[in-house]
Amino acid sequence: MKIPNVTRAAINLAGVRLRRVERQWRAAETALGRMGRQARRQQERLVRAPELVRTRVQQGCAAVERSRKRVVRFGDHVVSPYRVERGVKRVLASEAAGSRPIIVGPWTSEVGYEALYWLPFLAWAADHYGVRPERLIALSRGGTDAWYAGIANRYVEIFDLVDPAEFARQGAARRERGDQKQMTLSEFDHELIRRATARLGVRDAAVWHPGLMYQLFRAFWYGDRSLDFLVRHTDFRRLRRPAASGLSLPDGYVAVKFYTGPALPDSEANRALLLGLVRKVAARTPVVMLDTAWSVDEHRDYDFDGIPGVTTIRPSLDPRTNLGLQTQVIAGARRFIGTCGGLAWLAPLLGVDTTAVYEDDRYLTTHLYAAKYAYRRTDAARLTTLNVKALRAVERF
Amino acid sequence: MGIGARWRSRAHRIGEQWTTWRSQWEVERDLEQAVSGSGPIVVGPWLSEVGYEVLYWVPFLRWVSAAYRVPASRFVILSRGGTESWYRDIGSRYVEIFDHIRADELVSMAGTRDSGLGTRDSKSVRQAVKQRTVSDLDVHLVSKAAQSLGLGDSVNVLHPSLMFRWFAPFWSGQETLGFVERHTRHARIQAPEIDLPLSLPSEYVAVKFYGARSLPDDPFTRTQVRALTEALSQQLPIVQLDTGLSLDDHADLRLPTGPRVMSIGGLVEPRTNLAVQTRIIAGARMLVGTCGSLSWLGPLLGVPTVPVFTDDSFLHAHLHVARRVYGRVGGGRFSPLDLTGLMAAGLTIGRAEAIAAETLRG
Repeated sequence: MKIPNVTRAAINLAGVRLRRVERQWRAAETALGRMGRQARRQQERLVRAPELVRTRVQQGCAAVERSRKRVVRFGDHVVSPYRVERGVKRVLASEAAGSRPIIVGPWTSEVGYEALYWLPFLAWAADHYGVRPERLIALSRGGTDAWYAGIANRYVEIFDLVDPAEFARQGAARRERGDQKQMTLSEFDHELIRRATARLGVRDAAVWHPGLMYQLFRAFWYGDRSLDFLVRHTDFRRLRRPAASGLSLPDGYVAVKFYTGPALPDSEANRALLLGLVRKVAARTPVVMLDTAWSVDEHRDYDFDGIPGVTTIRPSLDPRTNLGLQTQVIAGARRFIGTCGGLAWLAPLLGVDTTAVYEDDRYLTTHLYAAKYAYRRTDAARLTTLNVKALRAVERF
Repeated sequence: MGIGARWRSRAHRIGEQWTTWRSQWEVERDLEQAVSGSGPIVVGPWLSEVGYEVLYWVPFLRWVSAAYRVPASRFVILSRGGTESWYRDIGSRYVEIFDHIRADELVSMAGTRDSGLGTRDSKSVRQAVKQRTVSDLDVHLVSKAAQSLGLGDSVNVLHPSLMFRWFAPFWSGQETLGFVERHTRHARIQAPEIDLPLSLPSEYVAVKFYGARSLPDDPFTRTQVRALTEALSQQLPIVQLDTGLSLDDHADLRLPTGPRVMSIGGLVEPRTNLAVQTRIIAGARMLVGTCGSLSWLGPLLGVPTVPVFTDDSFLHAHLHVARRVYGRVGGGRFSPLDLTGLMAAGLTIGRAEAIAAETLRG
């Protein structure tokens, strides 16, 4: 059938209109859908707005708090230690300037700090500031001149200047003042320096006081300075082997020194355990005890009299030579066993394998960290530890 | 040392310090980015050693949570072995890695991490177990975790590499202990509520020995460990935490079982092995084992712990941290035992001498 042109045109026109309407309808639908979605999102945002604001505020507050803490931390843990370091180095440098002799000391505090920190610190300082051993005068006690060999050519014995009782009294007074560590130059230190210079006939001497070392490393002990800092300000080196003791000692002996202290408190259990330990060691190899009959500080030696195979050097010791003689005995031993602290830090530097015994490591942790690391880097002998608490725990708990 | 050398040394030190600070700032920036916004944060995946997780990673996350005020609801913990209870106060959601990858696949993929060698020699594995960078495996696991929780693709990730990068200078001695203490919050950990695959005595000692650099698997160590275990078993029954699962380069030192020595070997599956061991340790009178791994966990569970070693050259920094923090958080007693110190002092534990003689004879 043939459709007339006018009708066909009308149908086409209607089709075009319909398609256009359809397109417009779809566009409107799309636009409405989009508006609906936008409205929903806006609604969600509005609902979550308080939470978002709260989160943002919290994060902002946290950021402000962190920044504030960062500034405080930077002051406490970076700027303050740095200021102390600059101060200490300024004193070291100014005292080292010129050609005056330098008194290093007087060392009147614990043996352990002297062996583990003071001697390596002096070795570093002497090298760093170009001070030759001829200029340095070590001022210490107990005949420790061998410890300073290579650092200071001259040594003054404190017990030649004051008697041990006075020394012990002054030490106790210092501890009572809360200055356990010779942080400052005390009247007693001044007096010792005055007497030492008078004895040597030295008119004008500079001083490198132990307080400089204590101030510098205190930040390390408190965790505000790194191990690397300690290593950079010390020179750990093997000590020169001292002359033989001249005592009549058995061959192949083990040197033993147990004293009371926070690391190994004086208790019934510890006395029994140490007694058993000394007995076992003495059953295999001769033991030489480094116990003294007196004390110039708060530590007391454990007593192991009457054990077969155990010799004591107690009768040969006197205050002015006791540490020197003990050093000679340790240097000749096949091993050193003792309380963790004091001479236990020295023995590895004498090339003697050492077993450091402790029950409580609260005050030892930083020193163990430093010693184990530093000794491994030098040619020191091996330092091993024996934790009696662990031993007791696994044997009977 | 001359003045010139002193200035050169000073300049070198300042340069080193500047490098350290710059790398710390970079980590801090990455950290801020990771915790930004208010959406969920996938924390992990933790695939490294248990020891680092317990001693540094979990305390680090606790610090992040406090310092950046990130609520637990945002943290999605991604770890393995059922360690959910370790993170209980940090993240409200936990995704188990072994739900998304088989243990053998993980071991083979972890063994080739970053080394590019494709082999599992012990050195490459040791390098691999420190997640210093984000690997393809990590990305894959994060994506799986996000999918499983319907989190979408654009989820924030707090990767262990941040912690490893931040604390690495401390482990090498260049950063202070104070830095680690300021960026961690150590706290006691609760044991998980999980059914145990064996029935335990009312009182026992948990023992976990494995060969490691701190306690090499050699005849001396085996003798001492056997003597130690025997001595312990005379006091109380022993529960050996030898899983028999080879999930890293540390092989368990298996001791002969008997009426007083039990073993969990063959009774645990990878996805819950650490949860089971945690629960067993938490119920023990004491934990004795190789210094490393779960021995760092014992004190945080309130259990007296005796970590044993013969070589502490790689342990200095970790022992230093452990000694400082466990007392502070009221943890169990932590009493490291150096076997070489014991031997050097001429002491032996229990029948060590007789066992050594028996070993030599036969």
